[in-house]
Amino acid sequence: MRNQKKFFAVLFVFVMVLSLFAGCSPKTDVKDEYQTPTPALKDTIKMAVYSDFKSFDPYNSGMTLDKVVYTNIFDTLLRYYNGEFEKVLVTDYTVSEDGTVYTFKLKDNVKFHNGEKLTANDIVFSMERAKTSNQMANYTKSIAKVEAVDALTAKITLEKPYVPFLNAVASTVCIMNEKAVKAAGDQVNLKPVGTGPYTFVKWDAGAQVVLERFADYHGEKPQIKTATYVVLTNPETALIATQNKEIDLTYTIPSVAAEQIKKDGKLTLDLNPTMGSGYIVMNLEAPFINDVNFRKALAYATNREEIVAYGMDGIAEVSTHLYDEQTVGFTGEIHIPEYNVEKAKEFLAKTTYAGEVIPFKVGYENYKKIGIVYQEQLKKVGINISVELLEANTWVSDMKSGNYSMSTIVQTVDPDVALWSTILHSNAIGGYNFSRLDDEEVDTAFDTGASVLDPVQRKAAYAPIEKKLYEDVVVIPIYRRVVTACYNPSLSIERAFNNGFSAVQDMAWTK
Amino acid sequence: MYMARYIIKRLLLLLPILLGVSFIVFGIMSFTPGDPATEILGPMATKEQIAQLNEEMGMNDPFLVRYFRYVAEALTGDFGNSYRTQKPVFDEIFARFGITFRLGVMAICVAIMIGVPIGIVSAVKQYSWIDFTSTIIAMFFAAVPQFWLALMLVIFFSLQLQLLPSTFTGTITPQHFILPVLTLSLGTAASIIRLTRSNMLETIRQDYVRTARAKGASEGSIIFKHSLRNALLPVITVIGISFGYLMGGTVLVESIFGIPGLGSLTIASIRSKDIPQTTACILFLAFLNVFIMLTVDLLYAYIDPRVKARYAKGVKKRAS
Repeated sequence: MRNQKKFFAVLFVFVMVLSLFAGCSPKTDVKDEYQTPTPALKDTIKMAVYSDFKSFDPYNSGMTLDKVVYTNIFDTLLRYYNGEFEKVLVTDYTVSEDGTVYTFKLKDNVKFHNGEKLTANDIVFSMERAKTSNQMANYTKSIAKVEAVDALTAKITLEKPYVPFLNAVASTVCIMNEKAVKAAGDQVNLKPVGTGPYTFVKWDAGAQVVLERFADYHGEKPQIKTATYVVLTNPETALIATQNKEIDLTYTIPSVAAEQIKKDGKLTLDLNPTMGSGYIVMNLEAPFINDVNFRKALAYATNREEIVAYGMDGIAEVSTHLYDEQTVGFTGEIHIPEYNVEKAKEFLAKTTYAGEVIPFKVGYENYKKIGIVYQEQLKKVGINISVELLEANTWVSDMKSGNYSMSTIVQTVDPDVALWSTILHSNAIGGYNFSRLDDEEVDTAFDTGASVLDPVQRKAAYAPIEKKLYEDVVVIPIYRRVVTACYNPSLSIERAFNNGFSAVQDMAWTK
Repeated sequence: MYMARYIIKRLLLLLPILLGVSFIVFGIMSFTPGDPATEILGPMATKEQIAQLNEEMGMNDPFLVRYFRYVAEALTGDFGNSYRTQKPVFDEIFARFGITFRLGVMAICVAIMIGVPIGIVSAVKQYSWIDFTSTIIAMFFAAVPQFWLALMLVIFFSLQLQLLPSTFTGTITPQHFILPVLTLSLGTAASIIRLTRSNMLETIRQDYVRTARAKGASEGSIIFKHSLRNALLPVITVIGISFGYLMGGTVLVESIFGIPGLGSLTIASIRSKDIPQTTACILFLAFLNVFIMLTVDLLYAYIDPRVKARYAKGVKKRAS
């Protein structure tokens, strides 16, 4: 009797434990989706991104991820890709000989997501709004007047020639509808209405953004109907969710996993090069750093290949220039010193440095890894740095106020030298000119170069910038940032833009 | 009556606690580097624009002026809008709280369901193989980092067995909760096992238990009626504290499983220097913790006749 009781007790516990897993039956619907042939192609996509979004008002967001989303919602007059300007909302455009008048002929079949038809008045409204935006003001300040010549012709007159106009304005200012903006009131960032291939459905802050295909889109109809950007801050989980087919594409993976993903071949891994330039940034006013010989010693002591291999697990491209041949106005005539330990020691001997520890402040864990590799490299020539990881806001604040000596950063700037002024012009000290570079020749080059129409003369106008950057070692370029896109092999992605991300309209399911 | 007074007193105590918490959070957010105007206007904003917005937002006023202005507005129910989303801060909190609360409740229930029975068996069968096994397992789960445990569970159940989803994507089903709940509950269950075991061991050696046994009471009655009720008192405190911790401490689990909960909102707000949102999140968590501890205290009175008697005495004293 007692044994029987024991048996039932054990049986009861066993059943209870089994019942815990009763609800854990395999997700057959998910498996079927990929394992059994389906007559129709899938028309939804889920993409993992590494952080939450901030704003979907294109004039008031500096975040790359916001742009990744609103690129699907809004159109620009032109789109810059691979050195070419594609006509998006225009059938044609002309530039006056003196480079001050741009005339755009609009397509006549374009509708906004609210049903309004695109007219030249929307171009006027958008450009005027962009002029008042903090994000765009640097680029749109050259605009003197915007007029609607007729319903489908917009004319933009500049105060003086501004060569990066097509890139920095025509391909950047998202065209908005006045009625929609007014209807949204102070919630423009939450109610984006554009002419793009996808309409905005919802943003669950911290969780996801959902987009739906726009039925009246003026261009080629995209294959994917519903696109969801899911916020997965943990790269390990994002990768597992992609392997598990809960997510179709992830832009965030642990960098160490890249090799294994390639070997496995179960997922497609694209390494998309970007315009993001990673470099060692130095405060030119800090002790020792203010000595050009010390900076040269640092440059000679820098082994880029090693930093990319160990500090970034190989997920970056070695770079010897802050901006390169993709950037209009780049000369490439002057180079940063190449890795040479002996030369580094030689230049160090010319300084007053005697082994003092120089703080190397970083604001993110991945930058810390770079710092640690760099610390070892500098030790070989006798320079001691201490890598300090700060809270991100504190780090940015210290960098802006000059309360640092050395650090590392990635800056993404559109491909025109003129646009680097936000980082290298003396009027940006206290802002994003972290180097605190205050050089008259550099300032003049920026101030005059943007108005020089002749490409050869323009390069010549910008030459002093590269001379200063590399001869005086203002910065030490290390790598070009690469964005990893890891996705289901049944998905095809036509192209990635210079920020490393792709538009949903360029994606399609193949099986 | 005395009990009601006690509850009111405890609820009134909330005020200084919340004031203190808000002062500390407001202070930390104000005195750490970075300013909200830069966060709102973005990286391309000029110094003048940042200065102007800071002025408009009253950020240039002295700290105490800003703090008391915040408190005055909060007393009217206006805790401000999030700098990030422009929505009222409590809209965001309530939108996120549901999922965190469900996670917390499920995790604490699972922890109790695992911890209490195993703790009892472990004590009753002291030095048996069950005791050794449960002690080792409890030590293991108490020692392993939550991060590692979560990843191991995901790799095993999601990737290898393909039984459970690894992230909160798509339509949320009960299956989505299993791995996060296990991650959260196993560590707490380990604490409950150890505590229940040690308390039970202490209780079953008490004279009154020996007396009950001598009087011929059944083993079940001795364990569940005479020992467990007393042994569970400290366990309830641990459960209360753990529940409070689970409400605010799910950040890691939320990050790993992609759960849009309160923890991830708090972290995102801190990172983006969103002062109104951060302050409101922490105030809400503080309120929740105080409320949970009050509930635990009241449960004590319900379970422990000595505590109940103390309240009764209080009534008598007032009557005399």
